[in-house]
Amino acid sequence: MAKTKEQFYGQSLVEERKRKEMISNLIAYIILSIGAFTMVIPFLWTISTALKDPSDVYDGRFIPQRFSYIYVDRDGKFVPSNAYREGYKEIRAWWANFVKAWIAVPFDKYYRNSLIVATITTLGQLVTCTLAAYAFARLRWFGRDAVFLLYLGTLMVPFTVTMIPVYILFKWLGLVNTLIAVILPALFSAFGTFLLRQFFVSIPYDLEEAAFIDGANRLQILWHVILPLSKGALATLGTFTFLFQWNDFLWPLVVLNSEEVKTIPIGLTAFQSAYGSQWELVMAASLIALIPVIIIYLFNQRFFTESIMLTGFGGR
Amino acid sequence: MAKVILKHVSKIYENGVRAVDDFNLEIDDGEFIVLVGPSGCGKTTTLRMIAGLEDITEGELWIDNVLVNNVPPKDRDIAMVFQNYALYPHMTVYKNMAFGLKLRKVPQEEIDKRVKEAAEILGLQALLDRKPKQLSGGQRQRVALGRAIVRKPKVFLFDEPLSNLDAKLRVQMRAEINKLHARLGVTTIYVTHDQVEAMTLGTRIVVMRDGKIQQVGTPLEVYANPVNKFVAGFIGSPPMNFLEVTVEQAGDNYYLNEGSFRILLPKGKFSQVSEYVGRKVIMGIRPEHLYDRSTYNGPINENVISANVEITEILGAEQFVYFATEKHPFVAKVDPFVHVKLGEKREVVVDVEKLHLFDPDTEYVIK
Ligand SMILES: Nc1ncnc2c1ncn2[C@@H]1O[C@H](COP(=O)(O)OP(=O)(O)OP(=O)(O)O)[C@@H](O)[C@H]1O
Ligand SMILES: [Mg+2]
Repeated sequence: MAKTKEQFYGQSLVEERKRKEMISNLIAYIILSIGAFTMVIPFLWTISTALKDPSDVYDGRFIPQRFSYIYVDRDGKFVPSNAYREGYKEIRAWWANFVKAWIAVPFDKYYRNSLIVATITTLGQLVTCTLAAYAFARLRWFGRDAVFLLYLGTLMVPFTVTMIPVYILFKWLGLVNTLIAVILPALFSAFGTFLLRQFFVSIPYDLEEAAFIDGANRLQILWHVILPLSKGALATLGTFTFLFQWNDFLWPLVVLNSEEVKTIPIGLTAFQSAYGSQWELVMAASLIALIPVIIIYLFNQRFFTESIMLTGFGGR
Repeated sequence: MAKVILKHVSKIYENGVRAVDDFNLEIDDGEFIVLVGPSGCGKTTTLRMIAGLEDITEGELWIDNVLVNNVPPKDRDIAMVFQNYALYPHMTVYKNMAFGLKLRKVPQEEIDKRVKEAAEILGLQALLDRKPKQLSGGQRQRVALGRAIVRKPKVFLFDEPLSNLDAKLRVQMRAEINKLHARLGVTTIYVTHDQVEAMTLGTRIVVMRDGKIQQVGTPLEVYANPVNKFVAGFIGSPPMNFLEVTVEQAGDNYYLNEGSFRILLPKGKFSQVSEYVGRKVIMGIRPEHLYDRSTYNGPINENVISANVEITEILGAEQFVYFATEKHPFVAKVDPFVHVKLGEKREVVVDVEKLHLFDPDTEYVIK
């Protein structure tokens, strides 16, 4: 059967729309791919360099031609140096640079310290910020909004301004060169309080009233109603805090001096100044430092997507 | 189960709004009280004060012979169903219902028993493991009811629980709430702005306006004997017709003259109007008390209005005909089989015994 004019034009219109959609999608994908590619290239280069043999680092190739090597001495111990001596055995493997970097400096101590600092401050902030945010979001007390603004205002003061007074304070407390000096100031956060407060405010007040009538007190409401609904916000804050503390450099550099208490960023700098010419080791060390960050991100990723989905409470 | 007494209760919000003004009501054990009134008249505020979610500015609130003004909600032994259900989104239906009992440290077997019982009453057995967002509006409403009944409270409070449902479901849930009340016999206070809900559910209804009680009574009392023009116009659908008329006396008889028609008042109403001769009053007559002359079998004295047909709506079981005299529009509910033509002049018989007369200044019914 012959097509009527309308059918004919109708079809070609649909086709045209489809074609336009495809083209705009294609352009979007190309732009996004370029963006993603530029982001990921340095990271891939880091991995590539960390796998390379020291003499290949400057070969300009992306794919390592051969893996690096590490010597094992007569006692079967790994040797951190590249200099060959009598009786050494050479092992070529992808992990050679990682092991070299790990034993060149007390990475295990840095790691332990960083884990302690980042974990305690993250948990601490989750507790303190939750309580403060709830008080700012839902309790009514004299001067609440003024105090909140003041607290937010502290975000405007750069750390470099308060660093020296805080240092003097910690010196006076006798806490310099201890992990406590790094942990204590990071247990509280105006940013975290703000973030959670904004989220709590968006939770319908009806739910709290229902819980009140069900017989819950404030803390029970916080625990049974508010927190389960705020997983996304808490995961976000937790991840931010962990990453920030894991990477924090300036303050730990100021208060931590001995090897015993150094965290990874400081350890890495020391490592870089000592082994600066050996890029394959610096890259391997950086990757080692990255592992917890990647784990935390992968673990919390689902909460991020969940928190985006939760922002609409429509489907209650 | 308990008595609830409100004595001179008022609420003034921080912004100075007097949302509830001198509210007095004694609610008997097991009663189903409906607070009804237009938007913003203070129904929710009253309910929230009873729940303890809102402070009482003035007056006293007694539940079960205890003054509870300063008792927190959880110790008042009430349960509330919110307009938008307020179910905990992260808990299953079961946990939503069990939450209040858990907080009260009810033993686990008892919780289980009561939740299962409530689920059975409300037909929720198959949904106990679902989250609220996996439920339809009516099912959510049922869970909200379930959360209230498992607690076995002294008083149920409902704030427009059916307003988010579609018309059909609303009728169905209305019947279920009615059954539930008959079965459990718990004192219930129910807020709505829907007068049909008020009429069908309440053992007594409380009509409110601007924070003040206008009238309290059984649905029929309020329907048959509204105390003022507001209540008369609020209860009933379509609302009562109001026509401004002048009282006239001729010999021993009293008439209401509208200009285009004049009707004779029955003897029983003479005493009401004797002081209003020569003055204007407001005549109120419900659409269902107006008849098309062709279907009226009773005696037709001098109580016929002739008016033009403006619009007609046939709903199947009934027909609403919108008339207009020179001065006033009015509606009559007539037999659907009466054939009415637009624009024609028809005669409408007034059931004068059902006439209401209001003072035009105070708007109160003339006694
Ligand atoms: N938190 C509040 N602060 C100040 N004024 C309020 C507050 N809540 C309600 N009001 C005012 O009090 C009056 C009564 O409000 P209420 O919510 O009790 O009305 P309602 O009868 O429940 O109306 P609706 O049928 O629209 O729900 C209104 O004028 C309202 O604007
Ligand atoms: Mg309301």
